[in-house]
Amino acid sequence: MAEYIVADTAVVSYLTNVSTECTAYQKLMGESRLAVSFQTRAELLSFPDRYGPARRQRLDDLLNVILLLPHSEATNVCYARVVERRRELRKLQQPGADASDADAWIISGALEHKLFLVSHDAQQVCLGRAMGLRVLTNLDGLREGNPSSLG
Amino acid sequence: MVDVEPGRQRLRVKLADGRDITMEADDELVARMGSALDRVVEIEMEEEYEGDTIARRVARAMAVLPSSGPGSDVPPKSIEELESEQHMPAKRPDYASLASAVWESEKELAEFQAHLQEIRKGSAG
Repeated sequence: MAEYIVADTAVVSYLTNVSTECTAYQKLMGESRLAVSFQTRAELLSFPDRYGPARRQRLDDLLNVILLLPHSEATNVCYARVVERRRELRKLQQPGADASDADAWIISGALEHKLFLVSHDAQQVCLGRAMGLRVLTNLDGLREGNPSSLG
Repeated sequence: MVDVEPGRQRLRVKLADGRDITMEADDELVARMGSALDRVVEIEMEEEYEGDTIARRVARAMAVLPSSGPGSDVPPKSIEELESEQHMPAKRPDYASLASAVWESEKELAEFQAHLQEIRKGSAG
């Protein structure tokens, strides 16, 4: 089986070569394959259709080769743990306290399947790490906490 | 739950974060509710606002979620099963090339990031 890594929505878009983050995230991902939460798929599909059907087809082409982590009861169980941890971080006023529900669902999918997460969202990175998830990022001040290897 | 208003049926669900919410449901959905009792479901719902307040919630569709058992954190399908089911390519795809065909300019990428920020703001926990 190929190794998979869960990519946050912004990271999927940063893989375009017009992004200044493209090289950094490709390097972080190595030879891993991409998986995304159902949340990321929904966010990508919610992008306005102003560029026409051809562009939409190219988005579908990309999504068709990225593994989708579907919503399951296990995702809900993980989500309940993540939002409880977020509540604790809020009490303590710690980083990750302001993570959104969307962040929580993405973290939950990675926890459910015990996969690494790659993210460019500081709150998501901090909440994920507070959950014991192995999170890779190219964000200043957080990349120092990247796990040393993907294996 | 009993509703005294004729012709109007309501569905009460417990959310993953412990909250309970109530919504209206149409006849077609009501007929399927028995099969969802005490199971984890995904519900497509519409909310109608009056000003900043939710005036009405209506359930439009419902699906029982795959599960390895009540309260289990074991995924119902392994990564290998998902990979096979979704027909992932044998060779690692060139994600950068595919993404570059979706976001062709810095302006388009910036628009998407702004869009993402906006919808995430709406899901702030």
